[in-house]
Amino acid sequence: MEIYESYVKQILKKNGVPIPKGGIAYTPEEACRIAEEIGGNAWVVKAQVMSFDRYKGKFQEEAAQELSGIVWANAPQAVAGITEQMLGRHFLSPEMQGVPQIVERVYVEEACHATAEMRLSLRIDFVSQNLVLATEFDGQQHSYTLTQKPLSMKQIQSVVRDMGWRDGDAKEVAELLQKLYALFVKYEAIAVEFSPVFKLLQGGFSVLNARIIFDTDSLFRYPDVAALQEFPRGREREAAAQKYNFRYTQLDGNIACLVNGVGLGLATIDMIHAKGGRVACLLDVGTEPTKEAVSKALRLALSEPSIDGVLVNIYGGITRCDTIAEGIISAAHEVLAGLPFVVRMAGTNAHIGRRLLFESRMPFVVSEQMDDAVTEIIHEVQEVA
Amino acid sequence: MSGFVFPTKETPILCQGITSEMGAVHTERAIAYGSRIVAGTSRDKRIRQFLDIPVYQTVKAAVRRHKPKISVIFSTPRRALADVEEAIKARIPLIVCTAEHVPLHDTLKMKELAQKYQVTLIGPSSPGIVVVDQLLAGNAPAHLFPKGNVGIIGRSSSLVYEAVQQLRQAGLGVSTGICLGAAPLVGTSFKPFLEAFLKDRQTKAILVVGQIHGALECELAEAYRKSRRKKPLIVYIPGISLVSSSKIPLMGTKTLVPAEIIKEKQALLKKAKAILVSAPELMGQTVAEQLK
Repeated sequence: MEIYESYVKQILKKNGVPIPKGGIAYTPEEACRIAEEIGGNAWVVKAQVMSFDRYKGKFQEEAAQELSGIVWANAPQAVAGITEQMLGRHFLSPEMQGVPQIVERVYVEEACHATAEMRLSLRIDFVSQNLVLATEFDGQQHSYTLTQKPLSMKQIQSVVRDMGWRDGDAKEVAELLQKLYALFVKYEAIAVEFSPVFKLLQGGFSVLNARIIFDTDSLFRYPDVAALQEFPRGREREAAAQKYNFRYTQLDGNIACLVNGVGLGLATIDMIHAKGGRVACLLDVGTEPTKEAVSKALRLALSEPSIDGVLVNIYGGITRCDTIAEGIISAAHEVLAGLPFVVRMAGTNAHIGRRLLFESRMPFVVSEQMDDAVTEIIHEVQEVA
Repeated sequence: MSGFVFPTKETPILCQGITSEMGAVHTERAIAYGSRIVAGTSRDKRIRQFLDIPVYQTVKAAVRRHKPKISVIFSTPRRALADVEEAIKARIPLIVCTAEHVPLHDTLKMKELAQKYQVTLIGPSSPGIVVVDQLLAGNAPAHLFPKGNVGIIGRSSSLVYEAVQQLRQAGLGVSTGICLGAAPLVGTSFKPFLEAFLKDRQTKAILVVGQIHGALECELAEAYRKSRRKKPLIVYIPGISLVSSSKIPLMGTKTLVPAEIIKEKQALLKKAKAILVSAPELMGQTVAEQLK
C-alpha cells in the first residue's frame, strides 16, 4: 500500500529526515501562497498521483500536453499557472499501467540545486527472502543482502565507503541510511526508497522524493497511516475488495474469474489463455470467505461493462463450497442479466454447493472438472460475442 | 534443518489455540484421522481439558509433560508471532503456522528465530502436512488425499488440492503432502522436504506445485541436481501466461515479477532434469507418465 508524496513527506519530516520546504495545494491560489511562504526564486510543482516516475509521465489533455508530472517555475504566478493546468487533468506515467489518474492536488516545493545526486533503498526481497539494501551514486550501483539485523553502524560505514563518500559527507550519508533503516523498521515497510537525494549547492543533503510501501497486513498497528490510504478515481474496485477482504486484479480480457487462492487463480488464468480466452479480472476470495464477500466480489466484477462471462473455480479445502454457492446465488439474483456463468466446484461440500445452484433454477453451467469449465466458458463467451 | 524425516501416527502433537473455533474443529478432524494430539494450549485459564486432551496455559508447561514433536498453531494474524515464538523457544522441532495475513515483518522475525533455534517452521498461511493414513498436522482436508506413492510439496493450498484430485483421477495417490503457504515470505523452502522425499521409501515420484513469485524453485532445482538420489521430480509453476504482463496478483504487495527470474527457474529446473508441466490440467497425467 502506498500513500501520496505529500503524506510521505510529512512522515519523513516527523522522523528527522531532511526534506525541501513544501506544502499541499488544492487550488492555484493556494499554490501561489505556498510558493510565497516558502520564499526564494524557484519552485517545483508536483502532481499528486500514485506513481513514483512522474517525470516520465504526461497529461492526456492537449491544454497540459507539454507538462510532465514535475514542473519548475520561477515565479509564484507561474506556480499558480502550472497548478491551474494540472488540476482536473488526466495524468499517465509508465508505472501506472495504462490507468490515468485525475490530478486533484499538487505539492509545491522549493527548488533545490544539487552538486551530486544519489538513491538509497531498503526492501524485503521476495526472491532471496531477505532484506536488500541498494545504493546508486555516481553511476555506481551496489546491493547488499542483510542477514544481520539490526543494521550496525559498522555496516553502514562500509556501505558509505563503497559509495565513495568521505569525511563530513560520509557522516551525513551514514545518518541518512540510519534514518532509512529506522523508518523501515518503525513502519514495518515492505520498502523504503529515498530517490533522489541531493547534495545541495549550499551544503547538506536533502531527500527530494521518497516512497514507502506499507504492508496492508500490518496496517492494524498503524491506524494513522491506514487513515492516509486513498484510492484514486478509477481504482474504486480495489477499495471495495480491500473492505470485503478479497483481492481484485484487473487484466484486459472479457471473462471475470472468481477463485479461492492465488495459485488456483493463476492456474485458471493460464488455462483460459491457453484455450484462447482472455481474463478481465481475477477475484481471489481467499480461504474462508463469507457469503457476503463472494456476493460482493461478483457484483463488483459484473459492474464492469467489458465482462462477457463469469467463471467461478473453487477447490474447497477449508473453503466450503456451499458458502460459495450461497454467495453466487445472492449476487446472480441481482446482476446475472443473461451473461454466461460457469461454476466449477470440487472439494469440501461441493455436492451441497452444486445442489444449491441447481435448485436455484438459474442458468448456471455447473462442472466438476477445471478444464471442462474453462472450455465451456470460452465457448459460451464466443457465442455471445 | 538437515535430515527432515516425516512424522508418523506415533508422533506426539501439540495444538496451540485448541479451544479457538478453528482449533477445535481441526483438532477433532485430526484426531478422527488418527493424529496423536497429546496436549493443547489455551489462553482461557479455566480450561484444563478439551476433547479429553489436557490443556495448558503455556507451551513450556505442555512440553515439560508431553514432549510433543510437532506444534500446530491456530491463532489470529496479530497473535501469530507470539505463538510461533513460544513454540520455537520451547524447541519443538516442527511447527505449523496456519494463520493468514501475518504481517511480513513478523514473518521475518519468525524465520530468524526458527533458524537460530534450528526448528522447521511451515507457514504462515499453511494448511500443514498430511502423511497419508498416518497423521494430519494442520487444517488440510486430509480425507481428500488418497493413499499412494507421490510426494507433494506446494505453495498455494487450493492448487495442491487440485493436483491431488488429478492424481486420484489418474489412478494415483499421495504419500505425504505439504503446503509451504502462499505468502510471499515463508518459514521453510522446498529443499528440506525434497531431500526427505528422496529418502522416503513410500515415495516414488515428487510433484512440486510452485509459485510464479520468488525463487524457491531455483534452490529446489540446484538441490535436486546435486542430489545423488534420484526420483522423478515434476514441477508445475502457475501464472506463466502472465509473465509478459506486469500485473501479476500477489498478496497486494505490488511486487512485479521480473521475466528473467521465471526464465532462470525454468532453465535451472530443466538443467537439473526435472519435468516441467506445461498446463495446469496436465499435473496428474505428467506424474502418471513418469511412474509407468
